[in-house]
Parts: sequence; C-alpha cells; structure tokens
Amino acid sequence: MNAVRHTMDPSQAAGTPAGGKRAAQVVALFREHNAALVAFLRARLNSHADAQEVAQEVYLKLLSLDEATRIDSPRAFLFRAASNLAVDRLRMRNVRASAPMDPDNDDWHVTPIPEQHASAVEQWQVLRQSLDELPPKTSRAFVMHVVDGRDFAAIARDMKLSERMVRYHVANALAHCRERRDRAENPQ
Amino acid sequence: MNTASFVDRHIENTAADWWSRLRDPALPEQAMLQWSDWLEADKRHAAAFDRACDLAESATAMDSATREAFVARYVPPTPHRRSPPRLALSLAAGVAIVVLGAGLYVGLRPAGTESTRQYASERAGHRDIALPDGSSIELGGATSITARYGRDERAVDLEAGEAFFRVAHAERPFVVTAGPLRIRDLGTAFNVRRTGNRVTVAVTEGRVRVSPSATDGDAATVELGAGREVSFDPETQAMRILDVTPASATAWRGHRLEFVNEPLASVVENVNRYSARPIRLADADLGRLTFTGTVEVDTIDSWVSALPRVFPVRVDSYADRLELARQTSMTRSQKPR
Repeated sequence: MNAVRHTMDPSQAAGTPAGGKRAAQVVALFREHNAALVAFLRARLNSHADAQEVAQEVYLKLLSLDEATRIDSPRAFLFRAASNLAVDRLRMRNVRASAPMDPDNDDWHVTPIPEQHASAVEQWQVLRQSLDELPPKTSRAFVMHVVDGRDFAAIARDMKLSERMVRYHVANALAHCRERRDRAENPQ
Repeated sequence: MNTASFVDRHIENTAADWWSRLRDPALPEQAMLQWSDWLEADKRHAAAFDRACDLAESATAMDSATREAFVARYVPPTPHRRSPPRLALSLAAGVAIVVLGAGLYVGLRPAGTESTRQYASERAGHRDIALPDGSSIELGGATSITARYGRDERAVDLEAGEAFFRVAHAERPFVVTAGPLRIRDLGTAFNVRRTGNRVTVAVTEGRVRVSPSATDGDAATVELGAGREVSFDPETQAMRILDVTPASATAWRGHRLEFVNEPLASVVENVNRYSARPIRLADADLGRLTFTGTVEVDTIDSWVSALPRVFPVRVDSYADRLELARQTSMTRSQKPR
C-alpha cells in the first residue's frame, strides 16, 4: 500500500503479499481506465494536479476494500468513487476559499511574473476575440461558468434558460475558443 | 491540426460537449460509462478532450483584474447585483455561488413573490444546493425536495430521502416539512432523513423545534439542541429522542449509512437509494427485524450477502433485484453475483 502512495502506478503493489486479487483488479482498472479517470476528474475539478491526486485516492480506496467485498461493475465503481471524492475535494476547496485571507497576499500567487505577462495578455486577447465572434448568450454562459466560476444552476436562473441550454452554450463556446487558440498558436 | 478536417472538427466539438456534461455533479452513472467508452475508443478523443480541459483550466490562472474585465464585458449587469467576492479558486462551486446567488435573488424577486424550485438527486448520487439566501442543502442519494421562498418564510418540503441543511441566519424562519414532522429554526445545521412517514431529525449545530406538521400550535413541540436526534415512528406515532454524534448523523456524506435499532424495512429503503440493484423483502414480516450497524454505499452487495449471518434470511439474486426471503430449513444462502 505504501508503494502506491508514492507513485502513479498501483501495479507496483501487485507483488506484495497483502495485494492479492484486489490489487490485481486495481492494476487492471488502472491500465484500462486511468486515462479516462484522470480526464473525468480533470473536468470535474478543473485542475490537472488535483485530478491526479484524487485519482490516487480512488485507487487507494479500492485497495483498502477487503478481499471479501465484491464489486459488481469495477468500472462503474471507479467513476462513482471518483465522483464522490471530487465532491469532497470541491467542498474542501470551499472551506479554504471561505477562510479569511490576508488581503496583502490575496493575489500574490496569481500575479504573473513579467516574462509570462506578455504572453498572458496575448492569450486573453485571443480569448476575447474568440468570444466576440460568438452570439452574446453563448459568450455570456461561457464567461459566467469558466471565468467567473458559477455553476450551471445559478447561470440558468440568471439567464432564464434551462441548465441544458446553459451547458450547450458553454460547450459551443469552449469548442470555438479552443479552435481559435490553436489557430493563433499554429498559424498556417 | 493544420488540416482541420470535418472529422477532427466533429471530435473537438464532441470533446467540448463532454467537458460541459461532466461539469454537472449530478451526471448519471450511465453517462459516466458512455463517457469512458468514448474517451477510450480513439486516441484522438483523449487528445481533443485534453485540449478542451487546457483551455478551461487556463482561465483559472487569470488575475482578478482580467477576470473582472471579462465578466464586465460579457455578462450584462443584473439590477442590484452585488459585486461578487473574489476567491483564489475561481471555479470552486459552492460558497462563492451562494453569496452571489443571494445578491441576485434579492434583485430579481419583488418582495412578497414566492419562488418555488425543485431539486432531486440521482440514485447513489449526492448533490449540493446553494439556496438564494446563503443556506445550503446537501442531498443524499435518490432524494427530492421543493424549496418555496416567500416573504415570511423559507419553506422546504422533503419529499423523500435524506438531506443535510445548513441554514443562514435570517428574520424569516426556515421550515422543513418532512411528511409528519415540521422542523423550524433560525440558523443552524441539521440532518433530516425521511423514509415514507418515518422521519429522523439530527441536530449538529444550534437548535431546532420539531412539531407534528398537522398542527399549527406549539402542542407536542420538542426542542432539540446540537448532538440530539428525534425519530418519529409512524406505527406508534411516538417521538423518540436520543443522543447522536454529528459524525454519525451525517455519515452518509462520507458514503456510509449508519443505523441504530432501525426496522429492516426502513434500512432497506434507505440502502436502495444507493443500490444499483434494489433490495426487496419477500416477506413483509422481515421488515420488523431491527438492524444496528453501518452500510458502506460503495459495497452494498457485500453487506447484503452478509445479512444471513445476523438474520434468519437468505438472499436470492436476480438480474434486476436482490431478494431477502425468510430462511427455511437448512438452505444455505445463495450468493448474489
């Protein structure tokens, strides 16, 4: 178990005597579904680093189940556990975010250092141009969700749309902005 | 991506579509499996999805001035909207949205208008709800509520399931109706579980008043402080008050269900809010057995298969359900698959 805590690959636990069938099952899940699991968590948490951490927690949770525990559909279990742990992680973030912050240090870690600054400004410029090309509702839903961090329900209330429509606008804007960024970075 | 072919374009759009679907915390399990099928079907799918994530994630690195400029440019101001608090993690849902929602709500609703909203969670799913007044509700699996916010009262109806309430202080009382019981308070945290007409209210912070919902007066009202729980038993019509630790009252938030002397029928009904295959009682008398213990919602099948060790039951496994039947003679329990 300790080996897993320090590495991305739980297969290293397979050889340990405590591992047995459960470890073999976890290894198989990792091989087949790790990419989808991390990508799923990445979308949920909007952070690649957090996604990798929480994926580790998922495997540890699986490994900690005793051998007698049968799992009906391992893949469903994997995503269900990931979804639950992602909820816990977001909750933890909220606790931290609502803790009083030192106003002097508030933006310290997000202030770009000078070399990055130019490219950041450029990057936001491309984003702004891409958003300008979209229908107002589409860009608005995207900015509210992705930039301002509001959930679909709150945006739906505000824009008087269904959550499904909000999701649709966000997806359209995301696809468009991503394509525009690619073109800006790899001009033909 | 020099030649953005039709196929590539389609993949990129599908990736963006999946990204926004996965953002919904209440995404059904079936959709998660479809999602992993899609991602694993083709390497280009995973690459396109990564690019979609990159773009969304890059926005979290925005400094607050840029973020405000974007919001000002694309989000028309709502009357009376308070300027949102700036948080280090812009995409953390919850607290920030609660505060924002509060400002919005006050702005959009003329005083006296009642607003009604329904919320429900999937089987085995949890859902966090931020109410417009700053209160929040966490729904356990297969739980539905209706929130009615009027001028004089913030009313929530718990139709079925289990929910943990964190109530923001306000003049208007916050009242939860759960079948036969009404729970009233002015700013606290408590858990309510409704299984048909069996209702358990556990207080983790502050105080609440619990009364039969059929009466308007203060008759039969009990006042509960933190660390106390009241259960209403529909068979005896009695309210039983017990000590409870906040951790055990809200264990479901950590994906465990805890029961103390609970009739098996009620235990099964609660477990079914999480179980992939519903559990049925072949014999209603079995429902009167009482159960004390913990059920991990991730491993319900194991719990079921262990029941014959503590109760005179056997487990019959069917494709669409697990059935608990009275154990006759020496038949050994069949193992559910």
